[in-house]
Order: sequence, then C-alpha cells, then structure tokens
Amino acid sequence: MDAYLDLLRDLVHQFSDPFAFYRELIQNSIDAGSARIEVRLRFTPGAAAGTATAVVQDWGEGMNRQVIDQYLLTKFRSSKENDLTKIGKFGIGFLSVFAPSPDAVVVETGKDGESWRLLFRPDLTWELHDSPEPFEGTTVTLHKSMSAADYVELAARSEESVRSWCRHSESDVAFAAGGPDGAPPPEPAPVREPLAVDAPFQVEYREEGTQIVAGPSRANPPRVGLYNRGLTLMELEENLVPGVTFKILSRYLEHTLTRDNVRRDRHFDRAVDLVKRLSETKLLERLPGELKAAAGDPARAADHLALLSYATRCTSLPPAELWYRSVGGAAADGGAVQRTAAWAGAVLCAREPSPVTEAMEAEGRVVLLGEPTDPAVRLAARACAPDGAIASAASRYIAARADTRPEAQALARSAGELLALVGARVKAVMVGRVFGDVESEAAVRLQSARGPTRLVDALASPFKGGGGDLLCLNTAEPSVDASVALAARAPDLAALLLVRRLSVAAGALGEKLDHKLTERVLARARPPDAL
Amino acid sequence: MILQGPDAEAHLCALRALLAVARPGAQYPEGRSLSERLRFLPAALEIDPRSGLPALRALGQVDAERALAPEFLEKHAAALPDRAPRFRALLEATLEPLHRVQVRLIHRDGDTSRVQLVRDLVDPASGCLVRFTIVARQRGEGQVSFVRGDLSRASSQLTGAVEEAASGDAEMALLALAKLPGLTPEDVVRGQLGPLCTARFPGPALLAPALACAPDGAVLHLSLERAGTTVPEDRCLDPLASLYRDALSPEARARVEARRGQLGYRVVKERRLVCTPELESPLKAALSAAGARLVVRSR
Repeated sequence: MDAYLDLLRDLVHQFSDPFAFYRELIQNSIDAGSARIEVRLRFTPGAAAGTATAVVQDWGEGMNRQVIDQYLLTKFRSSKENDLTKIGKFGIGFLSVFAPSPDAVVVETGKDGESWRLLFRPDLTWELHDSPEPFEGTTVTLHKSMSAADYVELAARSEESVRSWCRHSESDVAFAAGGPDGAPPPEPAPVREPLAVDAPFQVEYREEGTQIVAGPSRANPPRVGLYNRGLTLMELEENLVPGVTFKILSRYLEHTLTRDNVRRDRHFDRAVDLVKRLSETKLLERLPGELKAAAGDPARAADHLALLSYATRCTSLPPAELWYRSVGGAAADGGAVQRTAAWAGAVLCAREPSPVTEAMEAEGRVVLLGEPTDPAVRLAARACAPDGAIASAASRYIAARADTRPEAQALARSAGELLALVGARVKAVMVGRVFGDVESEAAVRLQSARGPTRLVDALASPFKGGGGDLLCLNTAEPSVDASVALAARAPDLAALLLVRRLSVAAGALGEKLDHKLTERVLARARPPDAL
Repeated sequence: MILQGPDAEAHLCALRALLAVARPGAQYPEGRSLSERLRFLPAALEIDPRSGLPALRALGQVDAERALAPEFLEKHAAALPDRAPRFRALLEATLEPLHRVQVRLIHRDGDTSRVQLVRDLVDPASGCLVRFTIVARQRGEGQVSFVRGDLSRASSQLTGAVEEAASGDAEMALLALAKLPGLTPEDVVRGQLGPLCTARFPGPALLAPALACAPDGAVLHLSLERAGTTVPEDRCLDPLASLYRDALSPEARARVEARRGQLGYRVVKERRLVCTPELESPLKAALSAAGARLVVRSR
C-alpha cells in the first residue's frame, strides 16, 4: 500500500504546473458532455490566514458508484481509454488536483439516480458518502489555507490557466473569482474566444470530428495550435506547413502521457496533411485578392508584408497575381512593377508621394511605397527586377512644376531670348520648382514640362549637347527665386543677371557675348522716343 | 395555440432564460442551438399545447427561411433592404438540425468496432425535443462503414432503424436496435427538453398546484432515461414516468425480461426541473410531498 501511495505521489508530481488541474478537470467535464463548465474561486478571511476554495462545476453525465470505484479511485484505468469521442485517456488526470497541495478536495457527483460525496485528504486517502441530496453533474472543490495576498495571485494565475487551456473549448467555460476581502465571485464570465489565427485572413475546413483554420503567418516559424474538442493540447512555433499558421481542433488528436506534447501519430500526420491541402486550395485561391486588398489599404501595411512574404516565399503565384503598395496609394500588380523595373533598370520606391512620383505614375510607371531597405520593397525587387536592383525614385528622376505667376512667365520669356543669344542648346525655358535630388541646381534640363526626366539628363549643361530641350529655372534655388522677385519690376534685368550667372558657371560667357547680352537688355530698356 | 405580441415574447423569454439555467449537456438536444432558433420565430407564435414549446411547424420554418437566405440576399436584398438583416442573421446563426442521425467511431479493433449514434428529433407524441445517444458494438461493417479508417457512415438500414427506434423510450430503442444483424447496443440514453410549463400550459397534474402559486412562473423539464449494460440497477426516479416493461401484459413482459437477460441491460429514468426563482420552493414542496427526489433549481 505504501508503495502504491508513493507511486501516486510521484504521479502527482508529474504535473509540474500546479494549475494543470483546471485543464484535467475541465477535460473530464467536456468528456462528460457538459455544455457549460464554471470555475469559481472564493476567499474566506480568517484570524491568521484565510481559506481559498476553487470550484470546478459541470452539468455533464456525472458518475455512479461503479465509475467512481473503477475509474476515479483506481489509477491507470480510464473509462475513456480507446475512446475517440473523449479527450482524456490515461486515468491519471484527476490526480492533478493534488498538485497545488490542497488541504482537502471534495467531489460531489450524481448519475443513474445515485448521488455521492467524496472527501480526499492531503495524504491521498478518501471517504465516500451517499448523499441524501440529488446531485447533477460533477462538482470538484479544492480547499487550501493561504493569505489574502496569496489568494490574489492564485486567482490571477487560475484565470490565466483557464483561459490558456479553454479559450477554444467546445463547451462554454466560464470563470469568476471573488475578492480577497471575502466578497463572493460574480456571475462567471465566458473565457471562450473565436477560433482564429493571427493572420491577415484565414480559411476554414471542416469534416466530421475535425475543424481547421489557417492563414499566412505573420511570424516565422508560424504559430500552430492543436486542440481536442477545443481544449488546448499544445501551442507551438514550428514550420509544419511552410509559412502557414493554423489551428486544428480534432477529436482524433491526443496528448502524450506526460501532457507536454501531442502524439505524432497517423491522426496527427493526416491533420497536418489537411492543412497542407487547405493551403494549396482555398488559401491559395484567396491569396491574390487579399494581397490586392491589403496593398490598396494604407492601414494594412503589416498585413501586406505578411501576405507578400508568404506569396513570394511559399507559393509560385505568377507576377500578375502579386500585388504591391504603390506610393500613390493604389495596388500595383507585379507585371506593372516588372515593366517599370525594365524601363528604369531597378524597382523604384519612395517614402512618400512627391511631384517626381506623381509624374512617374501619370506616365504609368510604378513607384513602390517605402525605402530601399524596406522588406516589402526588397521582396518586390527580388521578384520583379532582373538583378534585384532597387533605387529611390528621387535619386534617379526629377520632375518640375511650372510657376504660373506673371513675373515668372516674364522671366522665362526674357531668359529664353538671352540664352538663345549666348548659344544655349535648349528650345524653351520655363520657370518652376524642381523636385528630385537636384533641388540646389539653378537650372536643369527636362524632357517635358510634366513628365519625369532622368537625373543624368537633367544635369547636362544647357550649353552642350544631351539632355532635354526644355530648361527649367529652379525657383527652389535662392538666386532664381530672387530673380523672379526682381522680374516683377524689371524682367529683362532679372533675366540678364540670371543668364549671366548660368553662363559664367558653365564657362560659356566671354567678353563679346557678355557685351551682346548687355546691349540687348539695354536696347529693350531704352524708351521708344530715344531711338 | 397561437400567442401574440407580448404574450409570445414573454413565453419565449422564459424559455430562453430557463435553457440558460438548464445548461443541457450532450445527452440532451443542443440547448444553445434551440436558444438561437428562438430568435427567429415569428411574432404570432404557434405553441404546441402538449409541450408548451414552439410547435414543430414554427421551429421548422426557421430552417426553411434560412434555406432561402442566400438567394434572397443575392437577388432581392437591394429591393427589400429592411428584410436583409434578418436573412443575414439567419445565415450567421448556429442552428443545428431539428432532425438528424449522426454516427461517430469510438474505437475500432480489427473486425470489431464501437460506434456512437446520435438521433435528434422533435418527438411527435409529446412535441418535446429529444436526443437519443446510442453506443453499440458492431461486428464487420454491415451497419456502419468507415471511410479512411475513422470517418463513419451509417447504412440506410441503420439510419431507418434508429429513426424508428426513437419513437419510444430508451429501453424500447435498445430492444429494437438489438434486432439489427451485426449490431449489439450497449447503452441508449434518451434526453428530452420539455415540456415548458406555465400557468397557461400547466403540464403534469403533480406540478400544477405549484405553478398556480406563481402566475408568471415557468418550469422546464429535462428528463433522462438510460438503458444500458453499465446501469447498476433498474430505477424509475421520475415521478412522471414508468418503466416500459411495467406497462406490458404479463406475457409480453416475460418476453422482454428474457431478452433483457440476454442483452444484460438495466434501465434508469430521471427528471430534473429548472424554474423561475419564485417556483423553486413550491415545486420542491410538491415533489417532497409526493416522495420524489429530483434536482430542482432556478440558477
């Protein structure tokens, strides 16, 4: 008998988590067919210490004397052995109630018209009494003396434990704890959470005995949850199905004897195969649409990255079904990103919209939202640029916006005439604001007034070949800005000063040309009657 | 009987509240699903006077409406926007079928298997909701076949037999199923929700005086019968029922007893009552006076 008790004590100690008894008792309640299970804690203050009681109550089928004798009081025998409709198997789960070292455990239960009250002492001995009051289901009550402070911790850890084991339970599991001052527990509140995975979207599969939800994982390795009738068997991080986070509820999954793992048997393999099939069918079918929706929604950057990462790493979706976030806010398909990359020699990106990106998008080019170092941009480059090249749009291209003020227009006209006089190789001159990595230049050459221009072309000297035909005098540069202000009063003088500055800087102004320029301006400034 | 407006609402409200208190487990019809179904019943509520529960026609109408929901939402939701939320809610609701047979594998060992059959129905004799849960041992795959080794499929012969057996009590069902070749029923549980008794639908005479004490009170009956080889002894603890064989002629009873000896089962019948708080004491007093020992509770 001593050896038997020693063995039982060893078994009690296998439950390293003293709160594992909630899992075991709730598992028994679910197996007993209870639709609701309540966990209630209460503290009764005393002179020195108080007494905490933890109650787990169900309204399931209960136990008759035969079940109590054969399966509750005889360890290693389980009425649920070889029963695929039950979660528990080994007949040792009830022992877990002794893991928190209670002062007493009381079990009240009824079945087939019998009602029983069992009292267990800390040394694992017990008394069984026939109860005159009829019982419904099974109620297990643990009593333990402790301080109010310890009770507060007990209540917090109990709730955490119950939520962790039972949040997807088939049965309604509800929890309530009274206060450390002796206040009774309120009406127990359900701990159940909807069955969902942490993914941008999820797909579902059901068959008799098994329910699966799965989605593209945000984390690597993905989080995986395994449950029997909703009770947590195990949650782990493992790449069982690459890139897919999932939860499997199956009455065929079983935990191991030590409760710290799931049996990796044919049922487990089959369940994982079902997830693989789900990822290759429903999940894959929805992926392009979800990717497009996330790419077009400014608030869903994290979702988009998770989806894109999954799509590029774990599927072979064609470029046209991969969607990216453009800086303009619209979703752009991989085909368009590829075409822009072929044109520009790199995937283009920008942190925010600018006239440069707007000019590019107006021409049907795609500028991705983000820095070159952003993971989503790098994934796009890997998929869409031949050598994976990435460039900031503003470092390769510029754009300009015309200044429509009359003085700016007058300055442009006058400067155009003078530049022609000194042999500049441009066909037209505009005054405007230049955007891109050339904002300190006084003048740049443009391919067109609205579209983008390659930076290398923009910097070509107006007095030499190459570059665009349109010269833009950049009002972002202080001397040009001052010239526009002067042009309000004396546009020719402003143009003369500006053109002289540009010509000198380009080494294109000799004494003869300078004289010519001055003469032209003075001639236009002379009153008509003076001719 | 048709209840209208506030009367119908009060009746449904009482039923919903008592279902929440009853917390019927797996041996009974799905309480949560029934509660959900009550949300969709029409304002003019047809009650089955025998059970005090919504009539089968009213309960079944919810399924018919739900079947129409996808088509309505696709074709008519724009033209009739005020009706669309109801159809959407119907589609989202968790409604278990009122009538069905489910079969699940418990264990399989070579040629022998143990299976669980669950039959839900609205009992035509009482108008109450009933669930039969049958555990049976099978040799071969004559009645239940297995797809992929674990998914179970019942034969049409078995489905028909279960439907037929479910017209009586647990013992009758066990005896009927024992006639099927290759199948040995071990345990049959019959769980019943109802009747719902109020002053308007007083139900059994034993409890009527208690109900008269509280005109706004309500009582929901949950009765449970088990016929099985692990039942310790024959017991009829339900003051409103009797054992099947007690109602038989001596000759018929002898035949049943002989069969019972072969099959090795015993029968227990129980009942529990959930009620509104004001009825708990009067009901307990009435039952105590009648010598009945039942669970009666209001929370």
